[in-house]
Amino acid sequence: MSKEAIKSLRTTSPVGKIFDFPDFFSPMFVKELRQGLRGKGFIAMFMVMQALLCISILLSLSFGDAGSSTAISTTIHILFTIVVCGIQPMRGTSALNNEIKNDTIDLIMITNLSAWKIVFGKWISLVAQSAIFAVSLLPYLILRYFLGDMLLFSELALFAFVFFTGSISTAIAIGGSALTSAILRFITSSGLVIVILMYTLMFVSAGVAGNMALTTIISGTGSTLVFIVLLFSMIISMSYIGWLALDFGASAIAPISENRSTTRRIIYSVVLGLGFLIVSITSLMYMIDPSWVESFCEPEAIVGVTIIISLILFVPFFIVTVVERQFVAESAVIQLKANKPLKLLRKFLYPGWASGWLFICVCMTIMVAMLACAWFIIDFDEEEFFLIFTSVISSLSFAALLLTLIKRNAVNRFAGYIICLVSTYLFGIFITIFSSSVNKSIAHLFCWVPSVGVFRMTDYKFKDEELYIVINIITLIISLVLVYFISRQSLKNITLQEKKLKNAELEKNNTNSSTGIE
Amino acid sequence: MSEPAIRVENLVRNFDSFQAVKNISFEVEKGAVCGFVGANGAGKTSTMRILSTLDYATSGKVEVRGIDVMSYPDKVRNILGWMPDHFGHYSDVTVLDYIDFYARAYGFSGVDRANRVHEVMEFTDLLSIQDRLSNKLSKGMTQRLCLARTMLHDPEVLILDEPAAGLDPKARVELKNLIRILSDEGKTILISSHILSELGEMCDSMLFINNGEIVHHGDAQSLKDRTQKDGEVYLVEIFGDQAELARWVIGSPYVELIDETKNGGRIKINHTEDPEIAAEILRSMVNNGLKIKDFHRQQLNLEDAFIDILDASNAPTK
Repeated sequence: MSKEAIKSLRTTSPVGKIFDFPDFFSPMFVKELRQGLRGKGFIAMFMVMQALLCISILLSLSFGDAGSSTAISTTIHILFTIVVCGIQPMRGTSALNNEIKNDTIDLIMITNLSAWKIVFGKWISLVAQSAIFAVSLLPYLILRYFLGDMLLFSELALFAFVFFTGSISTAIAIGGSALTSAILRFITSSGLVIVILMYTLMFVSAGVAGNMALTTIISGTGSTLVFIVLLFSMIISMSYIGWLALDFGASAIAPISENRSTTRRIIYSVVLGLGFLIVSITSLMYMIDPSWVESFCEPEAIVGVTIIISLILFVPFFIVTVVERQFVAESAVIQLKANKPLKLLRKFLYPGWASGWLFICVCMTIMVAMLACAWFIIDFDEEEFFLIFTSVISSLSFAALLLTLIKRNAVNRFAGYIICLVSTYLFGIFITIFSSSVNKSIAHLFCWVPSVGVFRMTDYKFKDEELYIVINIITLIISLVLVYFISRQSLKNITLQEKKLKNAELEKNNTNSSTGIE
Repeated sequence: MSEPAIRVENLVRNFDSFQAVKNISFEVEKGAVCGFVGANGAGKTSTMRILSTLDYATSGKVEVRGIDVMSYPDKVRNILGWMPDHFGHYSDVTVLDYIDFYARAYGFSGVDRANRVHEVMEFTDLLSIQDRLSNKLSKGMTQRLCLARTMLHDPEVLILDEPAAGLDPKARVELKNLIRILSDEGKTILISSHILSELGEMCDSMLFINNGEIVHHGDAQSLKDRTQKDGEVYLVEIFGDQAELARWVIGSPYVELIDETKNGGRIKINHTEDPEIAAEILRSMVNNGLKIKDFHRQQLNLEDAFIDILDASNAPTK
């Protein structure tokens, strides 16, 4: 009935055109896609790509030598990579900022669309446009196939890989587009996109990364099982980073009362738990039968890679948590108290940086436990690795301490935190240069700044790794404790809020029972 | 007594050290049209944004139909429509696509969506321009488009921030008619505007805000009465140099010059115990050589009342 009515409305109603996209598509996706496909940018890019491909094919066919079919492949891949991994993420870097700057975000925010739906709709629309580009390449690929010498599976796999990487890069660009400062937006988005590209290359391209390729490190012989496990790890970890970037964008535009933190922390717990599980199982299996573990890969490599992935995932999570605004809406308290399993852990899951700090402390403990597992059971004693690890987590906490001491209630905590973090690293570089060229003892004087040790590693004469590891751990503990003490007032306020709500509930129940209302 | 549609209690909004809204409280009854008046930067938009769930209060409580806007913004958004004083446009989006996007965003689907889009576009007379790009519309059309968007989900409470700003007289009359129809449908409307005479015609009550504080809340007549308690306004036209009137006022007790007109000015005669004070004043003018062409009592308009209230609230307290 409804379908028939829609069919008749399509032709009879003056507004019949609105049925061009089905109802189950997200409103934001429909709007962005309509707008995007009509936009000059998309049309121009599409036309240029088609023209370049046509010219390239015509030239290759007219020369007709042995390498012409390979040249077509190369042209297709290069153009596709430029569009999907370069231009499409670039189009995303202003997605949310344009809405904020043009005062259009408010009108969307007061509809039934949540901040997440808005951000996700923007992302999926750009991904859909990338998919349109991919589909438009099919005729050229078919032509390429009939020209011969095509490694079908490899080329399709490469397409999928580029498309996936481009989608994650677009997610990062869209998440970062919520930042109001153009410089910060550019640095954060482009920095993260470069990290993502390097990260994926490290995983899959032994040809590019040589011995750095994780596939080579772990499998050595190139075991299929290890490759599959690694591929899944890569897909999961990259998807997580993409999701976290979109979530960051959603949190930036969401009303202050919208609690996005709890879900974010629960999802991170699962990801970290997975890493912890891999390390502990490997360690356990190694304790039982070392030769069995060694039969398919080096246990040190498994542990090392897991810890590296955990650290890569921890850094953006840490930053997003530390820069949260300290506001707990009544609805968040009710929501967490109503859910029995979450009720027990609510102190760690309330929105805001104060309870986020408690959560971070737990995460760091788990990560240190992972390291301890690796150290004591598998005899993983790479000092440089430990120094980098402790330096990273210590720098993050140290910058958080600086932010808390200098501007605890800053509205734009993200910019403040990034400035503190960058300053910490710049200071480390400065001290390293100064100590190596002027006065060596200056480095010892500032060894408590966590970034100093990691930069001093560049000096081939540097032999104090153990000392710097210990100092980093001390700085970490001091930062954790001090920030916790500063956050106590905010935590007390949450407890007061809980009590107030409980009293209000009791009062309501008493009134109801005295008036006989059930 | 029915629950008010809007309740604001001790609302404070600070922007760093600047206090935009200072502990204000007011209520708007269900089905009422309330004018929200204040100079630029008085705190109107800050208050309206908090009411619309788009900003948060530093302290205080704000409820729409009994729902706390800070804690339950989603619930409030279902019953509230917000029309900002200015809003951006999307490039490459037609009027129909624009309305359809919001209809989808408000959860309409299938035939209901088409019907609702058609209804609001017909009501706001947008059907004939449905294929025009939304960023290429005139100011009047843009305001109609925004009103259509605001009405899509048939909200009980409408917050309209300067809806008539920048409109030509014809578009202003059209908008006023649309608001009147909405009011007749029983919607609660909080509307801000600088054109007080129009607000006076539309509103059941007026809320005056100055420097973040409410300085008056009541109907238009109560506002005029409040300021007319102090005196009465007379229009005076004279032959010859109008500056003579101003010179005469300086030396006259009980009289102040409100503004100058082409042939004279409007004066305010402060209340005294003398019931014949107006006659005395007229006699004094004639005796002082002013050639009176016209002298008659005038109703105080809302603009005068507003300025009086602003002057009174800005005057230093003793």
